[in-house]
Amino acid sequence: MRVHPLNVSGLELDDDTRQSCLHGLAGKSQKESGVEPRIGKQQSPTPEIWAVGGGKGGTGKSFLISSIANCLALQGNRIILVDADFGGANLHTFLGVAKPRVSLTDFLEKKAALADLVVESGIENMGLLMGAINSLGPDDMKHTQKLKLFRHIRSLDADYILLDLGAGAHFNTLDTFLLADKKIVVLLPEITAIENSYYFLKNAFFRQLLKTLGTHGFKEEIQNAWKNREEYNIASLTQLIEYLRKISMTVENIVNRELSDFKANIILNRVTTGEEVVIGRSVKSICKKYFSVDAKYVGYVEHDPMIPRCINKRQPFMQTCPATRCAREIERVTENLLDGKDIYTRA
Amino acid sequence: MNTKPEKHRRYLDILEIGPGASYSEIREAYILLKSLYSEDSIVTLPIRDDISEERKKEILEEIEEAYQALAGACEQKDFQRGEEKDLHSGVDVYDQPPFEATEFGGQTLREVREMQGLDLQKIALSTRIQVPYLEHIEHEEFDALPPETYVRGFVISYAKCLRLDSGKVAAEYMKKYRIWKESKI
Repeated sequence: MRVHPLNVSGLELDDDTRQSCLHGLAGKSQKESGVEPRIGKQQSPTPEIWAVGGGKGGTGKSFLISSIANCLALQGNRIILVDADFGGANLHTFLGVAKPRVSLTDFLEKKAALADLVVESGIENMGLLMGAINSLGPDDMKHTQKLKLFRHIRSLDADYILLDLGAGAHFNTLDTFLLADKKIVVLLPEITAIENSYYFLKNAFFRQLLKTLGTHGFKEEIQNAWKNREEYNIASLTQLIEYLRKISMTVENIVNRELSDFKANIILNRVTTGEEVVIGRSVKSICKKYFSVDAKYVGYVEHDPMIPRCINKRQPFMQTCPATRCAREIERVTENLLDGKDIYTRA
Repeated sequence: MNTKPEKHRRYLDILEIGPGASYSEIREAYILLKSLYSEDSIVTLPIRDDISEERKKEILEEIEEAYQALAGACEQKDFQRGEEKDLHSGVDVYDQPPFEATEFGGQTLREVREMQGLDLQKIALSTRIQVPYLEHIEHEEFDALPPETYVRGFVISYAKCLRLDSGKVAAEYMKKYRIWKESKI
């Protein structure tokens, strides 16, 4: 377990570190980082990766992840915010900085190293890595390119890497989501957003299962089960899980481990009434009982007309309106994500 | 407690609550889950075919069993509550505070709120009164509050949110307020 720099020495960064945070986020020594290295990883501690997804577009994913990044950066953590919306990158607009001239395309076309593409975000301790804005459609990314990109993202020098995903449940989006240590799903109190988030989570977990079982040589079993699902009487993810568990002890162990490792964090956005707050809790319950996926309800953010106004003016909300209820709710969500706390379950 | 630890753990899991949950938290979870799995809502409609009717029935039975056991254990610990329920809110009806209240001040409001397992954020969201004001009301920091009319309105909304007799609470609270106001002159 790593120690969160939140209340350790993260706030006491000396000037050198601060400089290095601003310029390319490189050259950090162990002593300054305030982060305990993970066992087996000497020298450079692995950054913790958070990703925000959720299927439906327009739920506030980019707004929330950029605001959460802002909170983490204010606490002295070194953040790299990655716009992983391959094809529709627009995070720079939320931060109010000019569209960066460099993007992931340059990395994929082998023109530059990933770390050199991190640009300033206008916020201290926070760097921005643009998604592919120009030519690259999501289908153009080859599998090997994707693996290389993921490997390089993981080895970026930062405390937290925050990934903003695009809408939909394309397999590239799902794979990027699965890269994260903290998987965040943004919901609205609307039936379509809830529906899409179920699809998203189910597909993400199915893909994770497919991958892990694949590396253990059971790829055919899971594909076969899904192809002949009518024959085996499999109509849902839970039934598929039940079926797989019966194949063998090894498969059962893998499935159980993947289930206990896969944890989603739910944020309910654009809440307008007190009654809507429980929707997050209900969705969490459904995830567990309908498709065995564990989730935490880390908080909600109220509807505030100031938010679209700030976005349109290209002003970062957390900096422009720090005293609003929404800003405090976002801070609370960030704390809960750090502590792994559900708002309905007391620790 | 009569139930074995593993069983107790399982019941808590079924109701999706943590250890040490209060009676009102148990009840809140029970009412929410029961309506979630017995009625269609925007949360269940999109995936209503993902689960069989039998499984739904099983889930409801588990919820019922868990609630009976956990609530029973609470009652043994002298948690006595009235039989009245308000199914729409998911919060118990407290006609009477669970202790003898002689006067309704900020302290009493806080105690009732905590007993219902509600934090100020939740109260703020449903009453639309900002958290700092709620804190001032609870601490009876009258000089930090807006003029009297507003205070009265705030106290009424807060009391209603706690399912208390708002008229009675406001009358008692404002008595204290007026004592403070007169002492100021």
